[in-house]
Amino acid sequence: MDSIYKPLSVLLVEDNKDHVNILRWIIGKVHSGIDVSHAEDAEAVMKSLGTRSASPLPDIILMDLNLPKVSGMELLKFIRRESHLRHIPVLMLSSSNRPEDVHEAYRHGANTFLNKAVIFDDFETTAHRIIEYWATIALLPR
Amino acid sequence: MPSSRSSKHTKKSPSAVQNTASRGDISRLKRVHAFFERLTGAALEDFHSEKPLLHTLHTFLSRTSRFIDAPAGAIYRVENKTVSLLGDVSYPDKLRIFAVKASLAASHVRSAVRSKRVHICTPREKAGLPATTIGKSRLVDSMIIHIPVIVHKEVVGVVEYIGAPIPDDKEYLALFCEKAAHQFALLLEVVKKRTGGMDNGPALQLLFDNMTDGVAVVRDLKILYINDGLRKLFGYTSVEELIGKNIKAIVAPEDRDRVLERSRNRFSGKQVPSRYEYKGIRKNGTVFDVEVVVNVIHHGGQPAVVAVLRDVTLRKAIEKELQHSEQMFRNVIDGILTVGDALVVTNLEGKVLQVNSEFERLTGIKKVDALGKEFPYAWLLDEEMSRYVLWIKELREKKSLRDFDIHWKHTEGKVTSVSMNTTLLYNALGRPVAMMNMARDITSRKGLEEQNRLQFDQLRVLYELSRTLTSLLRINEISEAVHRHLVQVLPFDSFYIDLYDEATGSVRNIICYDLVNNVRARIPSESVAASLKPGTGISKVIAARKSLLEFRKEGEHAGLEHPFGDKERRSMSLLYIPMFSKDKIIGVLSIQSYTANVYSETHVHLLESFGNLAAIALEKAKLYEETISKSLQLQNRNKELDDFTYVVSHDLKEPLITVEGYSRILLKEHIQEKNSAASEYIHSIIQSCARMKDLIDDLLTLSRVSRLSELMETVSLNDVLNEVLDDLRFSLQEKHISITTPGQYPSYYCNPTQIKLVFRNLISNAIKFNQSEHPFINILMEESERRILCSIQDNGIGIEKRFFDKIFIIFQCLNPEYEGSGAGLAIVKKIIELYQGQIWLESDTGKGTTFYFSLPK
Repeated sequence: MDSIYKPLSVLLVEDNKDHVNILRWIIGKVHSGIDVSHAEDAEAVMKSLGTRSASPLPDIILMDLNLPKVSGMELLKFIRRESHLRHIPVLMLSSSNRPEDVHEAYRHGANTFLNKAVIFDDFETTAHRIIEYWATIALLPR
Repeated sequence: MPSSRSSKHTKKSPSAVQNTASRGDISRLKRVHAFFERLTGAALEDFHSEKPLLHTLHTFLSRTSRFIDAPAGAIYRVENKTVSLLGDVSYPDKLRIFAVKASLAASHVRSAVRSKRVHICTPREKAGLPATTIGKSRLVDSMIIHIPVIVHKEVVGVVEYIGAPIPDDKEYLALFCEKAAHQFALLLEVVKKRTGGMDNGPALQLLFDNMTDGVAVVRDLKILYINDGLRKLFGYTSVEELIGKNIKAIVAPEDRDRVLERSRNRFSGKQVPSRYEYKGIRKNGTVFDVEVVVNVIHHGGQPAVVAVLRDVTLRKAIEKELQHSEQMFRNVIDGILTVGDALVVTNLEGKVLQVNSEFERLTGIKKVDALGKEFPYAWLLDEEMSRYVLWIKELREKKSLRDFDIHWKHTEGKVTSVSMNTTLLYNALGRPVAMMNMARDITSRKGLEEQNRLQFDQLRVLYELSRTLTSLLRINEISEAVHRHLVQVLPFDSFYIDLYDEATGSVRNIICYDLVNNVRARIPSESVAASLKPGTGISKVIAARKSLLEFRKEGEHAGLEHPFGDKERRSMSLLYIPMFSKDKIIGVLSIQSYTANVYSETHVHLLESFGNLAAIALEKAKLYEETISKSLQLQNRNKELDDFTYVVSHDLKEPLITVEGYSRILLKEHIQEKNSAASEYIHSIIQSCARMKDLIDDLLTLSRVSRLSELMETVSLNDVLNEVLDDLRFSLQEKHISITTPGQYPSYYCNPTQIKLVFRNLISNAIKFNQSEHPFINILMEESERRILCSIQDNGIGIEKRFFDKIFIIFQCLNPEYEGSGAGLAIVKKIIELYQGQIWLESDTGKGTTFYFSLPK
């Protein structure tokens, strides 16, 4: 197991600092060796990942749907448009699971839609299962 | 004739074909006409002598086949991309009946169906197709014709003629095909209207199924058979749903007594109308206008009633529209009753509908005696009858005729020379409905043709305006139309319409024309209303409730008239007309002129007629605009509600997630002792968070439930209930609850998500509030004509009577021992009320509760 997680890096896009702390803690529970970086808004992410030479790219992106200025949905579209980012699994987070949001996120290529209210309820199993799964996928040879 | 043999040649120069091929064959064309006339005659005789329709079908097929020398013919029915052979005739054999279906794509008649055109195969094109029963040698110089039968723009059948020799003359063949298609379409139309011959087997049932009208066979108020048209008309999913039912099922409650009474009377042999209208009811409960035509036939050897039903909602709406235009028409007539000419309005057949007093004076015939009179009229001279007939004939082409000099005679013998002007009057659909004849006495007043023409023009313009206004709904379009028509008949320099609001006492100008540099131009109106200024023409008219005509002398200016246009010139002649709607003044119409003494009493009357027409149209437009703005408001409010619920669901939850998340981290990482007070407190915090999230979710569900906008469909309540029970199976198993449900549930037209919520909430309550040793839930459902009644019984803790109302209020949780937000029953009640149903309960504390709810159909 150790060897799988060691090089894994996760980018967290979330404006709520408390949620960032809690999410970091949950990811830490999955494996303490996962490298978690954090951005507060979508524009910053677009800037830093936008150029092809940007490196290193994160292995997984977890982003909140409700971000200030540019929404998570826009960022998702951006990632799916850019050929050098397209392969990165994106896990969308939201505080509700409004059907319209869930459908739209999947339509634009989200890999998972997580309801924060639910993952914090039952975080050990849910978060583990989902992050573990995508971590495994992200590390498969492309 | 080589030109008609080569189709390529025909296409290149059609004129050449006409010159050579068709000219010599007029006698053949005549023969086709005569043949079909005879055929129609024979068919009509068949219908009158009540012969079975199949007999007529046979006659049609065999006689037309023989006429073009085809040894065989067949008729196919086309429906839903399938083709069925209804019958064929192989001369001189009898008709055989089939009901063999094939898909359209595989059928040899598909080209005719798809193109909706006659399709002709000649032997060369036919090579490669399977051989028919007719010998090949016969086909060498012959053809196969497929003629599509089109009813209401739909191909409903194809007539096939096999082995007819190729005629020299294409026009002859085209005429035959056109006539045959028409005759078979007529036959299918007649099938719609006539229902005798139901006993003639499956072929005719197929024909009924083809009809867009609904057909039902009824005996003893019981429905024995319906066609697909009727199923669609009343919104059922399958024909079986109605068969065996009482006819009440398709009659709205308010008309049931009347329709049932009629049906009973018909069976007991009493005279009842065979065509009438009633209110029908669809499966989903909507009511609509139905026209029904009934006939008694023999079905299975016993008398039965065949009813043909049709949705006439649209026709009713048109009738209403017509009534509206009749009102306008009456206004026009009222307007001309004051003029000096004699007036005779007749229908298109010449029956007299209206005359005026000048007519009475000239002819000595009283109005009551004149009404209803038909040609030849007593007031015409015998020697002029034929001239009069020619005049009227000319009218049909020209729509309007002028200055026809003729004589009218008085009952006492005196003869008057009159000059007549006649025009056609149209209804709102643009069909001519009446003729208006105006006759001017020219013996006493010679040389007044000019005035005659003027008055005629006034009436024509007034009448044209009334027709234009029926189709306009915007205030601006209406006032422009009034101006456009008024220009043609009245002299003025400026023109205004102001709307008056009685409630606020304010006026708002909606249109203004005035001279600017000697050209009359539209001047923009203020968009806001202003309070009524005393002393103005408008305020005088509103106070006096009648028209006002003012003349001013040179140098005398009240200075109160509309300050538009050329400021230094002042109106000298001013005419104001109040516009009434149901006794209320809704506005003032005004024309003014810079010339003194322009207007007379006649002008006042004429402008009043314009005012009446404008008032009706403006009132209608006001209602229309109000409706539009209300529905926009409603849309906006719904949008706001959507935004609100979204904000609630997101923003209220965010802080909770933080509280809960940190609490869990504390619990996991920082509190070592599992049973300490701190750990207990944090557990409480986490539980409260969960409860708060549930409350928010329920609030959200409740606000979403109010919308019926999601798709409605007919679902089996069986399926709905089974899904709910499936979702709840773990809690049912956990508490060992035995559940009983009756086997069959009715179908219901609803939004399934909502009905599922009703069952889920009621059943999960029954599970939750049950501590009995042998818990059970008993679900019952009853279907009556008007509603579905459902009950859900449990042997749980029960509810005190004084709380019966309280439990349906949101977040009223009576028993703190049990989890739950208390929104469940509020959601249930809201949904039931959306369907106009009711919910109530019976309960004994400690023994159990039964919830009942009803859903109207």
